[in-house]
Amino acid sequence: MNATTRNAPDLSRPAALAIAAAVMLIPANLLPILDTQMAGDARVDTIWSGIVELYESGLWPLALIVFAASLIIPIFKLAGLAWLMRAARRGAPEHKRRSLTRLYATLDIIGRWSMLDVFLVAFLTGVVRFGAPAMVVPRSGIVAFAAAVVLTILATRAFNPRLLWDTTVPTEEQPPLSP
Amino acid sequence: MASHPRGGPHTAPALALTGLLLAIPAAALPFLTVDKFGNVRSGSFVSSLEGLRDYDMSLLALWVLICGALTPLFLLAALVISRWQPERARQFGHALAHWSMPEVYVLGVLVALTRLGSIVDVEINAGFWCYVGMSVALLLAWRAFRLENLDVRTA
Repeated sequence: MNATTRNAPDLSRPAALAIAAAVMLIPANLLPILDTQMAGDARVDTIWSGIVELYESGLWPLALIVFAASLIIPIFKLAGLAWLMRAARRGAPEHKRRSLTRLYATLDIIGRWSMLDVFLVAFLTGVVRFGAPAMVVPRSGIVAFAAAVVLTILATRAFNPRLLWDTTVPTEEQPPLSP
Repeated sequence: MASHPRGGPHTAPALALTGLLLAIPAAALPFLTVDKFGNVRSGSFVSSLEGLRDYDMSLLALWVLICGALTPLFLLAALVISRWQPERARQFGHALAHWSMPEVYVLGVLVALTRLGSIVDVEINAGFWCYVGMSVALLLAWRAFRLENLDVRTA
């Protein structure tokens, strides 16, 4: 292999983690994350219904925060990672390398905020334990969501942003050698 | 201070030590007290772990413990020793910083407080403010450490 060629970078680890995270997001959003029992009334919340409840209660700034943390950020992270891996595999154009690196830094920073819902459920579960008058019970959706968050963070960590600055041409895109 | 406009090499260890000291009351004191029909309960970081454990979610409780308490404490400890062992602190810091999320936990508690307000009577206690203080001290210490390292590398 000469100095201007390279094999396609090994992105199997971040790709596998990102796919696993995407899969975990499905039960995370479909299954309930929380049961609230209040004086005989029981309410089961998914991530989405919790956001809607906050909005309908007039707490739209909080609804916006939870919406961003629990829905937008995980999807944005996975889409961003897919884009970065595509760029790394094909060889990022020189004028885009800086912006792609900024995108990676952004994904690296924002991922942690998705843990908001996990901490929220954990805290409510620990505090609201009055038996029949009021109980908050965590449900399996929150475990799937926590797993999705961990996997997206691991996927971001597994991606090497230096690949975006690799100036050599991928082997698979080389022109055929002349005889 | 003139040669160290960002506070100098003592800033990060001093802030980290402040954070470690605040962690003690944050762990010992309740975050809030809730009242439902005269039935009073205290909520703290530990009670959130106990709540998850009691519903057979021990792994999730462990994860909350790691991100909300253990990693921030190890990161603070690493920043305290950064004055004497900056390279080791840098290695520890970069390994731990991604998993340290006390500020996210604070936001989670604030959202929980707002939701609790419609269910029960809530009173915020000193433990929560100590945890907030620890979280802010950690953020500032980590920022000061990184800026200081940048100064050293570019000097």
